Amino acid sequence: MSFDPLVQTFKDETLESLNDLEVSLMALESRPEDADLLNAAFRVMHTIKGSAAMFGFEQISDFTHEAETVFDRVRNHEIPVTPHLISLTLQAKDYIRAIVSGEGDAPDPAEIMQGYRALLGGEAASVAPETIDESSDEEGQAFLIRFRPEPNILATGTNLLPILRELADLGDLRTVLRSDALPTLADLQPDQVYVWWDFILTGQVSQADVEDVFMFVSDNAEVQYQPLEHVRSTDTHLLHELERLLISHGDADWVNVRDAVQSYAESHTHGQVIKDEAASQLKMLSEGARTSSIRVPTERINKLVDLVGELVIAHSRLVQLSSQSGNGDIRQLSEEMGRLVGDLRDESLDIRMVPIGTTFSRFQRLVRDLARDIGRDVIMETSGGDTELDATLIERLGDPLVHIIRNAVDHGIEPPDEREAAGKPRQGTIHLSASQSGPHVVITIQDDGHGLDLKRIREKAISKGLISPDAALSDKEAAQLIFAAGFSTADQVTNVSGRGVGMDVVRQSIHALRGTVEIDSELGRGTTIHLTLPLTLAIIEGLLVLVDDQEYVLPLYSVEECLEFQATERTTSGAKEHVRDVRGQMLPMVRLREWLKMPGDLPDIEQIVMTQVGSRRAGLIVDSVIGKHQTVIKPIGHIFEDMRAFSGATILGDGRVALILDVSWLITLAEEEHHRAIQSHTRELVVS
Amino acid sequence: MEATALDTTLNHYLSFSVDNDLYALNVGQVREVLELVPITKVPRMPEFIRGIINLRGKVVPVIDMRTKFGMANLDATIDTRVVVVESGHDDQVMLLGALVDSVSEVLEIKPESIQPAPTLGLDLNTDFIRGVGRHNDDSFIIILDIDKVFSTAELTLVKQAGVANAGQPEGQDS
Repeated sequence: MSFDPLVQTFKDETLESLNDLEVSLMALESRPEDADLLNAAFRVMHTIKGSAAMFGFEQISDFTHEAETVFDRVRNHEIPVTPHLISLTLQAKDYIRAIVSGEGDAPDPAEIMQGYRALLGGEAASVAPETIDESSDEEGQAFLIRFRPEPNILATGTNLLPILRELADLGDLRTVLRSDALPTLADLQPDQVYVWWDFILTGQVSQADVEDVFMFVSDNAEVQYQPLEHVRSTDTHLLHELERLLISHGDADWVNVRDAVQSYAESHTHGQVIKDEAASQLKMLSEGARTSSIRVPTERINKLVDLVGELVIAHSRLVQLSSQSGNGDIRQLSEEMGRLVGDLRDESLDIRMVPIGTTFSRFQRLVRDLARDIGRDVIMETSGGDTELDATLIERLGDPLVHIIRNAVDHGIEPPDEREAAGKPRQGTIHLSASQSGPHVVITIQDDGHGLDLKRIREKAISKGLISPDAALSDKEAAQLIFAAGFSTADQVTNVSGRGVGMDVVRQSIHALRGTVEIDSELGRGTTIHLTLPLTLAIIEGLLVLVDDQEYVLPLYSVEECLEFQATERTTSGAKEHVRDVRGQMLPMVRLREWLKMPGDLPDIEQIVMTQVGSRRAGLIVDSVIGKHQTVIKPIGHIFEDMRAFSGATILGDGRVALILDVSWLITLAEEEHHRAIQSHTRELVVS
Repeated sequence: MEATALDTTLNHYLSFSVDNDLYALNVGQVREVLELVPITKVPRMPEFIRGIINLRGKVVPVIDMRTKFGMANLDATIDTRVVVVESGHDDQVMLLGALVDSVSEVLEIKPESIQPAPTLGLDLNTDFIRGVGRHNDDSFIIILDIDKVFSTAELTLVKQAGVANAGQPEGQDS
């Protein structure tokens, strides 16, 4: 062992890691399901493998590779943690320790490898060396081979696959497929071969053996070989690197590829100075860490966003003044500023965008712990973790999501025996996903539990006086009842949920974020909760509408279209419009003038603004539609907190305040109006 | 009841009139005085909530003191002002605007000159009166406790109006 300081570091770190490994392994024996311990063990293996390779200690690297592979499988639940595995790994640890420290008896590595191999079920881990003997007289040769058949080679009756198989049988084959020449499907002719391969073959092979394989096709294909000197078949790490080099260096010109691979092989073969590379890698790492990102306190970013908001408002005033001024130069400048302000707004709002995946991973642990506590078998899957949301939004989503997930685990997923009896897998799944849809983010929490029992929900609601006994609620509406305060059909109150406090708080929180919650459920199959949230809390595109002499703002993303509504089309009875046929669909409607209790006559022509939130739609009747408006959202104040119809206020160009309407709430309003109208109408019919 | 309830370090009060009666607020609670600015009405709110205004980018609700005190409404005059006050409620400091007929001067009223509010002889609920001060030896000025002017009960009313609107969108109004 040299006393080179870098090697000494390796030695020290490895010995320390091995101690940690032993601790983890011991704990794992009594808690075989503990994912954290498994991960810890895996990480140790992985680290030792990597650093050993970096320092040129191939034996250790290769040996640890086996262990790492096994633990990877264990992490993925493919191999169980057994006392046998633990003792095998402890032996492996002893072996590595002995080699690294140069002290103590080393257990027989071959036996350990055998044990591991058996666990892997005989499947080859990616290139495992046959033995770990220092002196290997079976070094074999390595070749770089290119096989490029002519496009119409199949017409000669040649079958390519047997050739490739024959090549693979010669030794260890690493294959890189070149598919750059593949045309689009429209242009693809199935009887032509558009792909070719570069291989690295290692083993007891001679050039003649390789030539034999391609003997019958050499007339119809380009076949090139390059022996790679000094590369032994046991140099798994180097071979791995060469394969990666090949993949990235997909050159059609054989000479380039050959030269690149060969020069790499030459400079990196066993016996070369790997330490230089290690040193330069370290240098790269530390530099990289400095340049890629900066940490900024959230308050500073929020302040920035606020200032941008003020700028947007000030600019809208400028726009108004400039159009009144009639001065062309000023107008032009104002437009240019508008573009800059718009870009600035987009960029600064972007700064606060964070992928939701970080929040998701926090829940994995939650689900596991929770499931274990209450005797359920549940796993959580996630998708769309790279979907980005405003950081403040994510923060405020945390609690509602926790609650929904807890509910799913506690009330949604049945105990394993019950599931089995119902023909379901014993393990329940909760699927958490996020995706972007226009200016919204949709988060779904789906479980394959027993779903909502709508009948029981209705009964419970009636008994609690939330709805009247003869109320006719659609399934969707019935599902929404679980959000009512004090509502819970859970028979027992567990530590986790069942107090009936949670879901209404969830809905409130989501509404406070100007989002919506929808539930889909099928008894026996499961429940899906959809959360729809706006991407940003601060500035939105708004549609300015006029009711009487007062402007209101509708979020543009909820607006589908605007239709004219003539006085002649109104219902002659003078009753309020409840519904309208729009292209065959009956849409509930609400006239804002009436709802806002504004006096005065209706204008001759009104406008219907068709709005949509999720799957719900309604028409809002206003006097007129003014136009788009950059809406900087201002909170309307504590005392209006419960005023659900308005989600905020904004400052108009002339300095006045306009209220922002909560479309989701208005749609509910329209639906309920419609419902009531139908009910009373039905009653009339029944009575008469 | 006593002067100790007041911010004793400040003996200055802003006086204003509502329907010819003089009132005062401790300057410690007054943020600023605005001329009448356009007020955006917030629909379906109790009458004493006039609406909201834009205060340099902040949205502030405005309470009509005439309505609050049960007096008849009058059209605004050039003397009408909005007194922006800070009111602490449930540990939150809120900005509120009080719409008054006119604003007079800042007076110094020593704690000794302040007497507890009489329980008779006034039409008003006296919770929000901190006391009555002597003014010019011939008239008295009613000193208001801003935190109580907009009592919890009333704000609950506002909340209920909001909630009622939320729960029963239409048809339940009388």
